[in-house]
Amino acid sequence: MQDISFFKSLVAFAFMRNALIAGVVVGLVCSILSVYVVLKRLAFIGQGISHSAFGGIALGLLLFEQTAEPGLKTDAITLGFCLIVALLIGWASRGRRVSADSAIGIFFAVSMAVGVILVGLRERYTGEVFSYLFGDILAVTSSDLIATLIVAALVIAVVVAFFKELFFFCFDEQVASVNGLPVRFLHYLLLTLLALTVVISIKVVGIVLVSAFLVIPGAAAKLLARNFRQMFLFAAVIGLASALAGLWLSYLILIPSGATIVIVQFLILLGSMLLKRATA
Amino acid sequence: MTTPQPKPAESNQEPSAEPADALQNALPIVVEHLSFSYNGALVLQDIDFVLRRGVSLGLIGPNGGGKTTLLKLILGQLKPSSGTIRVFGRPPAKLGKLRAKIGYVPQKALFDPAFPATALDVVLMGSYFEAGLFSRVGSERRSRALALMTRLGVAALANEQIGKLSYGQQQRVFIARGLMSSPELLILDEPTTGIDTEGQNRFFRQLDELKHDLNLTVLMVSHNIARLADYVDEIACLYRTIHWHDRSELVNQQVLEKVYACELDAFFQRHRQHITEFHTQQKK
Repeated sequence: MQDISFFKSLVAFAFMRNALIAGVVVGLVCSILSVYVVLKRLAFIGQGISHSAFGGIALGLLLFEQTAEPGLKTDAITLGFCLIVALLIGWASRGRRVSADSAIGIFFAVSMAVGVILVGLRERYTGEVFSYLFGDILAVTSSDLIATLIVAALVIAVVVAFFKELFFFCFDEQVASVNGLPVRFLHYLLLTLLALTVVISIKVVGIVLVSAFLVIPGAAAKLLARNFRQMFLFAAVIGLASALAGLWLSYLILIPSGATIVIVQFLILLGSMLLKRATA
Repeated sequence: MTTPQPKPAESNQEPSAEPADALQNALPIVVEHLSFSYNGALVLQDIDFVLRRGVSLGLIGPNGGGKTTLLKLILGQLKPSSGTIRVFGRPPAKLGKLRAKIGYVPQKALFDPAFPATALDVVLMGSYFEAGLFSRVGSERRSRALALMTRLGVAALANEQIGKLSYGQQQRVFIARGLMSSPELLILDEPTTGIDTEGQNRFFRQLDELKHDLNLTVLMVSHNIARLADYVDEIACLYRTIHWHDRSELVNQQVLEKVYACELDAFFQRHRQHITEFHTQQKK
């Protein structure tokens, strides 16, 4: 147990405030995107994009560790990696060149292999790689936080702007296309939003666990919602509540924050399943 | 026997060069020498047909005969290997705003039954293209959606989750969605799949009323030959090539086999009697 309360620590330490804000913002953005990930069955694509981030992280660490603001530069190169892989997966999954799941499996394994080789080329201790894999929310700097807020605002603005088009796209892509909606654009737009969200989630939850953030709130919300707006609302509430509860619990019993939030989300999912069963 | 349709006087000019009036008055569908191959296999061969305003055309044929492929080509989802398709005077992929003149009702929709959308949400989707990007649907379109749902007898289900409705109710919701853009051409793909006999009768009656009240041109793909024959103006059979039924002709076993020029699947075999009776009645 901690000697100082969670709330007092928020007042006392900037890194705690950064952690809380980053956790809540990432929890919210991921839960909003999780609606599309669940409805459009993009869970494996999300996992592919997040794992491919490792190649970018390793390259960033290798190139920028001796320069100013290595974190932001690494984020930029990671975003580039994720976007390229997202678009390649999107291209492969729309055509019939290779099956989508094969394409995802190939791209993310190759990107991770590149990352492992690049990490091996570094002469320094590579312990911080672990924090990229599983998150290190207390390491969120003020510049990380600003980047997170900007990207989160952008993702939410795009979702709001294309709300009805993405709704139709998720419901029935073929009819949406016949009705004149730009389905190809919407497909790549969703993957781009996923890539952006993955990059801002890495510090909070890590590339291995981010897929939980991108699936569980949406899956739980889908069980309870009767319409699309309700699903967004429930997912957002679950995302926020699990981020807050997870951070508080992890502080209280000194366990990693990202993993704790994932466990809280999972418990909420179980509760939603029981509630659904009880009301069915 | 087979009745090749007369070809319309079509301009060879590019669609963009045509005056707006010509586009407005263009025929709903004109298909000329259309062929389509997939993975080297010829799916459609030298298809010619014209669908005129106010006419309802039933497209029948055995499974794998190319019915859905032809619809996809007309809807701009596929590109012809050769030949041309004009929908309201334009290639389907370049319809632009004229796309609102087409209402589309898909074959038993492949959506997730647990999808969190109400029946009203689904009907409103039909107005998204017209509403445009970055804009809300608005109360006027909401009222129009409810009016269409009332007409189709599904207004009471407006706030029900779409996946909880019966197939027949879902089909009527999808028709309401197809009508939201006030289309001139309604295209339906196997609209009676999964609907019981009574529901099918009601569906065809309603479609007939809608066609007359809203001045619709209708293109319908269906396996349900017996009922289709009672409601549509023209019937064509598609099995790689297209063959037309003249309603006045006597169709007997021999003629059917010649007309269809195809190996009829089991379903068609069962319905052969219906078609024969229908054409016999028309002759009388």
